[in-house]
Amino acid sequence: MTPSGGIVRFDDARPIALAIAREAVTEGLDGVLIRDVLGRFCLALDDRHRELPEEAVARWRAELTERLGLYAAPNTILRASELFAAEAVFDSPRILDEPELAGHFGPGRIRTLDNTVVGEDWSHVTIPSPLESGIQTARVALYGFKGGVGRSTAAYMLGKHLADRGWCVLVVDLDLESPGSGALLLNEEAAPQYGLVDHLVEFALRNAEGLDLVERASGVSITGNGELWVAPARGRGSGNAPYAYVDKLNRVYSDAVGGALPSFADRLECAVSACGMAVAERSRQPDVILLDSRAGIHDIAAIAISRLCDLALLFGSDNSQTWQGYGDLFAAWRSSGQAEAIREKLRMVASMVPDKRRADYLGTFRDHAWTCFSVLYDDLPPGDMSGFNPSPEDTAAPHYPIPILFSLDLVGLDGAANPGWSEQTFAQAAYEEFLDTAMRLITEGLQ
Amino acid sequence: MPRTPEDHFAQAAHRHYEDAVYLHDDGRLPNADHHYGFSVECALKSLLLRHLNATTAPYKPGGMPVPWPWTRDSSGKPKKHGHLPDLWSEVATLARGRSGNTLAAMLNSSTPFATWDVAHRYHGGPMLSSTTMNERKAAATQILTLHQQTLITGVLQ
Repeated sequence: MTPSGGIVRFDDARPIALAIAREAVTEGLDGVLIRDVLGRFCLALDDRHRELPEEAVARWRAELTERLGLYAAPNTILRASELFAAEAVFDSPRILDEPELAGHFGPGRIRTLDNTVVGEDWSHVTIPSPLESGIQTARVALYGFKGGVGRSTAAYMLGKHLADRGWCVLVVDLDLESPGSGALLLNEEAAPQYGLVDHLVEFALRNAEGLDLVERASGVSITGNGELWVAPARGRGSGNAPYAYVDKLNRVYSDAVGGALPSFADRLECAVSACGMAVAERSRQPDVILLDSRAGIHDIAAIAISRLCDLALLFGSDNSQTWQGYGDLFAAWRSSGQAEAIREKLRMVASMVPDKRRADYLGTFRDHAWTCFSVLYDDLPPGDMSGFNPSPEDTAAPHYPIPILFSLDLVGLDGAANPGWSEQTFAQAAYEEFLDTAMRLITEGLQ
Repeated sequence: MPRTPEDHFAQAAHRHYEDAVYLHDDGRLPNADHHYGFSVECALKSLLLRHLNATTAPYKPGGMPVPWPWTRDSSGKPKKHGHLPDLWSEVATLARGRSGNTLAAMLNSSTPFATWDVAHRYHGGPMLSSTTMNERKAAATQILTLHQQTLITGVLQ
């Protein structure tokens, strides 16, 4: 396996390192294959309870150094016995099982530790734990790989639809870099004093108690006894001092693993919980929390989808950027061993369906989505029903699109200047199927 | 063999730490303390050179390299990074950005080396309580662990 031209590039390095690590598995060794932030590899071997086969280790060291080129770490073989604190490496909670180093290669166990600057949360998929009260809250992330796909408007429509049917709903605006749903649901003067960004900053100093973070949606009339609350990214400020949004935003992503400050993901989870508790204190516990996640391959999206939600609605229109983007994301989930955990959380939304070509458009969308999702589905021979491999036509499958019809009336809509827009025919027609399907998916576990 | 000043500092950090633990276990506290201080100093200097824009290059072109890391202050003047306890707060000031937060959080808490003084090596025997010694050992262990992680991951923790 010699890369073309003899120059090792980022993508070439991983298969080389995995091939050598597999030899260590075959030899029965335990250890960790580590990739540093520059993409360089080293193999840490555990010699605390058994001796290493020195000849093989010397060969691996030479091979890693020679074949990885610039992607060889300065020291390609680390031994536990020579590390200052071996447990910090070998017992790291960030270590993952690597499908390509699975047990069938031999009796050893080599796992992987990938050090990145951002985005680590994509590879740690979990289901949110129930709130302390034990009452169930459905948590739903709305995500679009590309912006401008109607995600925030859909959050508004879905929030109102659920509230009109009696549910208590909280919409949290996680799009810190370009706040959207907060502004759509709240007049500026009706916003709470503080926003999510304040909780993230204050929590770092253990100063987040008592922040005013949520408010009832303004200018939205709810029928029945449902409620619609909003936690905006940005507050209106206390009035005592200028509200320095950018100064705060520039500090919120600090991550201090093992230090005094909880990680950004932990703090974001606490901030969302605090918003939920604030609604509970003022009225009742939300039945549904809608997380308006920001677009792109960004840490906030990673945390919202991988960790904070039970259901992630993935918005997109049928074009190559959408499928390439989701394809990259799904490939990363697969290679970090997360396919099984993530796939049943996901559901595709076709967010800009042209009304006149609806059937054709959705058919093509579905086929493209299925191709894209297939990297997350099990590889099964035809007829084998044992795993998870839904057909393109399976209407309950993650790839099967929930449609939102494209309407020119929705483009550039200023909700504040057009009260009652969501009740108008164009809006109801565009969102009808989306609202029915999404509500069923969200509330079926709450009954 | 170490090739660069930062590799020398990294190896020296471990040597001082091991000697400190050896002496500490034997109850020889003043010299154990001296070595704990130097193990922290060397680890911080290794990190300064690797991740915080410090250098041991000559102050002026054509001059001699210097045996300590230095950075430029806000007015552009060279700032020498010397011994604890000042070094502790100097590194805390320099750690910033998305990485470096664990180090910053660690260094921004009060330093157990506040009363450590390199000149104590000339003293007849400074009074050291076992609490102080244990705190200094814990801080040295924490900083050397972080130093190790930084070497492996390639990013200041």
